[in-house]
Amino acid sequence: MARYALKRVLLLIPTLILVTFIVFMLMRIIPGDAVDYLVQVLQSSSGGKTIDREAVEVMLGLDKPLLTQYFIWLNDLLHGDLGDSFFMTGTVSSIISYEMPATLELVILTFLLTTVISIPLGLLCAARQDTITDNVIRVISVIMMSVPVFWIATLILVYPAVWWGYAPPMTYVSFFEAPIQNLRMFFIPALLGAITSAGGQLRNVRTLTLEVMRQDYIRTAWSKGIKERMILLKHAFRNTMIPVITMLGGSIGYLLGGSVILETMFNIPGIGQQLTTSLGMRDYPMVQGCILLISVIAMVINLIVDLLYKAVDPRVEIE
Amino acid sequence: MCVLPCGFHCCGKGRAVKMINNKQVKKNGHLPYETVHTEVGQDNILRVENVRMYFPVTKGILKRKIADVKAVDGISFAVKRGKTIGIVGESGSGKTTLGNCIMQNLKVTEGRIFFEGTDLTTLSTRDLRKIHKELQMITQNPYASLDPRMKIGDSILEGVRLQGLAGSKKENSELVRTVMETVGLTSSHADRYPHEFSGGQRQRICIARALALQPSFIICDEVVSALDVSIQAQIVNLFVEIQEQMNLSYIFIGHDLSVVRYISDQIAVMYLGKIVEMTDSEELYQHSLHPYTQALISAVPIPNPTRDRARERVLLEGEVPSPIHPPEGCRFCTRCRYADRRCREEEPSLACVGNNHYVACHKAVSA
Amino acid sequence: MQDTVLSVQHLSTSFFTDEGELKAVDDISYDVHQGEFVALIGESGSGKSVSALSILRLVGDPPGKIVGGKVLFHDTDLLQISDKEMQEVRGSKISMIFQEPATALNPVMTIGNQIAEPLRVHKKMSKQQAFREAASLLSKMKIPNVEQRIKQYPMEFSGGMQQRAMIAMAMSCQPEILIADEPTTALDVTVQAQVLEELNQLRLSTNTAILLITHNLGLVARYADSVKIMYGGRILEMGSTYDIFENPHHPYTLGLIRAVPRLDQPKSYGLHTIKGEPASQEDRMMNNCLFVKRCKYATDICWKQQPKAEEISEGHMCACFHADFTAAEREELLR
Repeated sequence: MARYALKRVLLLIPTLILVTFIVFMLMRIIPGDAVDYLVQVLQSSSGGKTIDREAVEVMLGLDKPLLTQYFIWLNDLLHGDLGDSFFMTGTVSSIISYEMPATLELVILTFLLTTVISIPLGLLCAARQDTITDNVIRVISVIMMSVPVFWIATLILVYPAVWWGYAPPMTYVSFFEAPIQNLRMFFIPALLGAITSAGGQLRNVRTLTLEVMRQDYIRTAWSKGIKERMILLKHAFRNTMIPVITMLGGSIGYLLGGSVILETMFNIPGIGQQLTTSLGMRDYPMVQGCILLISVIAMVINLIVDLLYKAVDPRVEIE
Repeated sequence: MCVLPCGFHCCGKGRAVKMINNKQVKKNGHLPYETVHTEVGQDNILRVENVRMYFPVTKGILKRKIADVKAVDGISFAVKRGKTIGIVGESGSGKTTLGNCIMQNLKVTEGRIFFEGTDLTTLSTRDLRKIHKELQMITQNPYASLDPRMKIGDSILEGVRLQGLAGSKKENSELVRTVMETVGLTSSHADRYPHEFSGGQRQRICIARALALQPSFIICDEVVSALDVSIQAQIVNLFVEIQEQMNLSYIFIGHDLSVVRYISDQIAVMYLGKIVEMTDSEELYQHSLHPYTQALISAVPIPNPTRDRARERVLLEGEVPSPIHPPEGCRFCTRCRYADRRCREEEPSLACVGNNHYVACHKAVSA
Repeated sequence: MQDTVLSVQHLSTSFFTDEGELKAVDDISYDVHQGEFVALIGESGSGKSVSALSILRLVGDPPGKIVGGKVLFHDTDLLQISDKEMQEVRGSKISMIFQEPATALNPVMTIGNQIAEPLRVHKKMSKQQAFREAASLLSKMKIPNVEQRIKQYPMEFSGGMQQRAMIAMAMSCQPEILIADEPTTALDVTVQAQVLEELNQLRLSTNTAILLITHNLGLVARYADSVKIMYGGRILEMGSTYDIFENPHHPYTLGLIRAVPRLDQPKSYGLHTIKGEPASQEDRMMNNCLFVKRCKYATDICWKQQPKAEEISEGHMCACFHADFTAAEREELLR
């Protein structure tokens, strides 16, 4: 197991190098570049004075050939330096390390809530197939799936404020400084994110469990005189978990991407918000740093999913 | 001349044994090519010479080879035109792999396979396709081998079309009608789909599909194992009938000796990739010499309680060992009740004991 | 005869589909005595498996439903008791093994865990106790290296060993009846013989009755005490093993026995066939003899009426209007 994990980690290295290249090049392909933006900003702030484009280029280090730029960036990266932001004070790593915890907290909280909602309810639906409970939960799940998250978010922000004068806290405090205040801020956006993604997951858990419940070994379990609850939890659950792990693992990438909306609406200073702003300004080092980090997180989650597989399913041969 | 599993000639039993004792035969148990090779009997439609099929077992990212699964390990036999050879063995004996080797679905590791005098192992894909008009295979599962979205008439014609032999629309439907009637299906059902048929009928469709190409040779791999008793008898009889009508030759692979014996002229018993006994089917069940064959015969019950319960039964202990690490010496020694030191050290060769009867057993030869 | 442990009376089970009601089991009755080896023979679609699943109320509902009859276990009607009471019977008093051991065992639970489970549920054993018991059960089933094997998963077992593990599991609570639904069909002939022999030895030592559901007539002739022949959801003939195999009266029974390839007879003995296909759904709708389409003795009356089971000799019943017509064929069978 440990050897397998190590091997998988080593295999991440070439993948990572490829990712850095793609991230770097993609940024340069997008029309409009950082120089144009900066020139424009400087011009308007200096009252229409002509700005020397080339000087700006040299200042930002964009005068060198593309490949050279890439290797400089890669070299810095290997030394743990993500470069400086073009437009903000501070290094990319300092900005990210300030913003990452908020995003991670939101994503993890959303993920946990999704799991907590979808797995038990999915199992319940499967156990009570075609009863009123099942039908009600399924109808709700369709509604949850089909309603856009920003719409519910708007409702939640507006109506309680109008009716009771209540609004969720909008000032970020770290979890380690004031956990309760922090959770009060994060709980509502996380729940919103969870509700929208749990609808689909719940239906998947239900379908997969029903599929498992039709298997011969479940009939064997019944013939042994085991209670329904135990059959669901002990015999069916582990078999269902194998595809569910893949599904939930895959959803984290989606949650990372989707966090932008929630961060913006609930004023959470996270990486999603940062990424949108930086992209607009073509802040190359900033965007590269953010995307690289998100890719690394996605890859690590993938690895964890694969390792969990082995833990759950003895049939997965490691080599 | 001596020991010709492929030529069906034979000599006195003494000489075969002597020859083996004289170490003219290599120790690894099969007869060297020189002794096996003989004049091609005019009536041999298929000759299999010393065929081996090893699957490598690999390890690590670099796919380093650590061992071989010796699925088929030095098999030689021949089939006469219009006759049937039965191949019997438990799962893991390599009997299905052997069938796939002959069909060239697998590239043999070693050995040659002559069909109508042509060595199939050297043929190109294009030439093989021509051979496949003559050489057909029908497999165990009549559910999996038919495309559920294809009308059975089209399934039957598929091979003909692939061979580029399809005629006009009228000729095609005439062909479908003929083969369907040959196998006992109602020809008006040609535009139905597989799910509308029972297991036995689907096996008939598979047979019709093979017959549409008018082959001269069919390999039948466990074709009746999945069927009910009454249907199994129907299909076995059907195979016998069409053989007589069309002068077909068969290899009939199965694990149930009673079924295989019914259709076969000759039977080869396989164990862990090797033939342990081979002779005429009547001789085999009357005078089986190999302890494994005896156990196989004993395992088949007689549907008559008085007779069956009076019978002395040989129950095999244990299971077929792994073909990656077959036992030293005789491969059957781990389960054989007669095994002694010699059996565990020295591998017996397939030797003729007279009456066209070959057996690979120290005990049987010396007895 | 010893005590009756199970009495199936007029049991009927149907499947309700879009095309209407399919009578999978149609009014069957039979008894199982203590320690008896009973065989239920039938081809695919004869309702033999459904009738066995009905005893333990394991027929999938929907679409299946037990529509009538009684299943008396001692004096309790298993069809009337609560789900909870039924759970206490399953695996403890009556247990079951299935056709495909590879799919009937849970792939993500160790063999030991699966065998120990009924012991923990029904006998309230501690985990350690149950595992020790599981190990001794497995070694009784002639599985080597039990200590190691018990920690393995089903996929690490061969087909024969998987079925042995199933048997160990089913026998763990020393049930009074073991229902074996085609336990050897998926196995090689040699392994079939081994597994059935071990099962029979276990029956003799524990006095558990076995209800074997199969289409393998040979194995039945070897081990069973009594035989029921099922066709299209009904029992056509039943009696002792000797009655059925050496004095069969129903044309279907005769046909089945003669369709088995015989190793003890010369090839010229031939392989007899029953023409046609098993009874279809439409055939079952008719109120006539189910076998009539395939029967070579059929006359007008067979097309008009359903034959009632009549006693040939004590305990030997046959549902056929023309049981006398088969005398010549019977003689030929025993030749």
